[in-house]
Amino acid sequence: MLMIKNLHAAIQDEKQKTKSILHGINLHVRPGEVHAIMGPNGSGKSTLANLLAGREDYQITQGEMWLDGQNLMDLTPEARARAGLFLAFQYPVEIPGVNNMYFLKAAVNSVRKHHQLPPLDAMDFLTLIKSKIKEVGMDEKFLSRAVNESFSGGEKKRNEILQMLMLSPKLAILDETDSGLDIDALQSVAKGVNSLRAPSRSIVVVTHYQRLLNYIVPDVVHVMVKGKIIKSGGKELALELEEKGYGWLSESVEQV
Amino acid sequence: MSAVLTLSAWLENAFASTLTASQPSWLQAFRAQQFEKFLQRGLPTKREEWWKYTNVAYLEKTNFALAADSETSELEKYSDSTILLVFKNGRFLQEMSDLQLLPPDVILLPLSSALQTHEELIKPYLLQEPDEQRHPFTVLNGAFIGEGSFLYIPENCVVPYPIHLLFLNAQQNEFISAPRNIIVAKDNSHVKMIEEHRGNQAKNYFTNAVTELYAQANARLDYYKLQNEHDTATHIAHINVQQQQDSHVNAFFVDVGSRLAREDLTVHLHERHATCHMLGLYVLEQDEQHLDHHIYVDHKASHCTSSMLYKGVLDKKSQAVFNGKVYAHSGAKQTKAQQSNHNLLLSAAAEVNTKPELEIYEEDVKCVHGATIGQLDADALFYLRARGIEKEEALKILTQAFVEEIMDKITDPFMKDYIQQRTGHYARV
Repeated sequence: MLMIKNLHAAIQDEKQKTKSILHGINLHVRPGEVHAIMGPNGSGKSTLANLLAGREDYQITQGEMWLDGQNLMDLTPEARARAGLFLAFQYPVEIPGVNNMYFLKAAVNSVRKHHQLPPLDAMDFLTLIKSKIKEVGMDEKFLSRAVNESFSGGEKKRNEILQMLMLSPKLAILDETDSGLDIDALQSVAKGVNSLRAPSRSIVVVTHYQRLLNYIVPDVVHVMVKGKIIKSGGKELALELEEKGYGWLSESVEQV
Repeated sequence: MSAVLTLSAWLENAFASTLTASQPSWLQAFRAQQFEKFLQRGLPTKREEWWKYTNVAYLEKTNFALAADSETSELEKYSDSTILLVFKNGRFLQEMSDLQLLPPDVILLPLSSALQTHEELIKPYLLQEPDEQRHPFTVLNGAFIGEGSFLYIPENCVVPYPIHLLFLNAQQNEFISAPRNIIVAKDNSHVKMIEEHRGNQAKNYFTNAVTELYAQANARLDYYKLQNEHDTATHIAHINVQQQQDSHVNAFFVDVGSRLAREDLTVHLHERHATCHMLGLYVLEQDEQHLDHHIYVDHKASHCTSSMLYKGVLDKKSQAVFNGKVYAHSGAKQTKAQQSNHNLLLSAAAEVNTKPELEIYEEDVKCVHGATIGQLDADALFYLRARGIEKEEALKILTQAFVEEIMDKITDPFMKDYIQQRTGHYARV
């Protein structure tokens, strides 16, 4: 499903100095698998998630990214979304003046158009969204508001999951979706993600904390430190990290 | 000197051709006097503060003449529930107008007819002396007084249908038209109206319009101006508002056309508790397209309220100027004034000069102002694209969202619908 080979990336800071962020990421996520990428702040996890979705702030200096046999580097952000990639943002953007329902409809119908399906009419769309919004525990009043505008942190994350359910992607990447969530919101988010689990789908959970992984149980856990994946293992690795922190691994990376 | 001679040459010709013996002698005298006044003053230059960013020097070089008698055009009627007065290239077109729904006690006439039938009533409204330094084109319009409209709503009268003044410009080039509109809303009356300037297959023409709005005590006047001239046209307008006690004026400007457009809006709040809300939307999508809003609100009495909210979208190498000034006299206690101007630049070559100003001689006032110039939010754009929405479509959605704030303020469904139909895609929701 997702294949990342030796990915190196950099960003230019305000002084136009190039700062290297990723130093050779290798990742292979097979259909049906749930992978967790864990790591301390500043390790490059969010950069990786944003790079996959097509954010243009970064320069890819080396390496490859493939989704289902398609070279992601050839695709615009919208083409990646249409090809089935979904990023749940760490900080969902507030868009005043754009109605949430209108936005969701535009998104769903542009993906449908790509698959040569007719656009959903108002009734079908409403039926679909009403069933999905229940799953994420979101109040319907948020549909008639502007996208994320003055939503609480939890509502923004629920809105991300709602979008994900509406678009039913092949590959969902959750970027720190658990940060700042209370336990109710965390459970709704996890429920939404778990409902998407299927043999044909893959999920990548980027997180700082082990907590979310109690609800979304991963098949593989990767530890990312300073722009490299330094350790991979089963779900028990997450528990080990919870116990010991990242320090013992960071030391070993210095020696690499 | 030669430039002035060029200007006066075309002006002399145009002016001479409009003098008719059928006009009252007081008007002929007034016009001649305004003509001399304009020639002495000359065109404004960029050295003048009020014209710093708007260069009208090219007007000297074009040989504008009065439009020839024009034939009736095909006009698709938008609605059967409006009162419609149509002008083509500055001349009144009886057969395209429709006054069926006009209440019997309301006067609505082309100015040329009103001068025949209501000479004494109209005379004081026409004999206004504008300040030639600030409003040279109002003086020029005074020299050409002849056509336009006269709307007079008597006391306590509510006009149930919108009044539509449509100025079509079509099928001729390089002409000047100088409509003068007088709108008088007497005590406790209520009217909503739209003044529309539309260009179609006409090039390099010059509209020099003056509209005088009088809102008497407790009158309510909703004035919409839609400027959608041909993109080679020059449109210079002065809208002058006089308000008495408890009157309420809403003025809404939509400017999408012209090569160069200037909207001078002056509002005089003469008596207490007068309110004026001004809204502006401009969408400039052509290279070298230029729009200038100059607004002056004069708070002369206590407890008056004024607000300006102007938003603009600029693409390519277009330019906009916003100069909004609130002047509060000593004694204008409890004045409330708000000014804001927000601009969205879609291109790096677009340019905005914005200057909200306050001049206040009274302590008991509440005045705020602000202006912004910005680009589309790159994060919002990425967010939309990351959901599969094409870049072009995402840009359009975000631009519409910027415009939406203004369109939302139009509460009248007819006006909203009409403006959306007639203006560019960004105003369509």
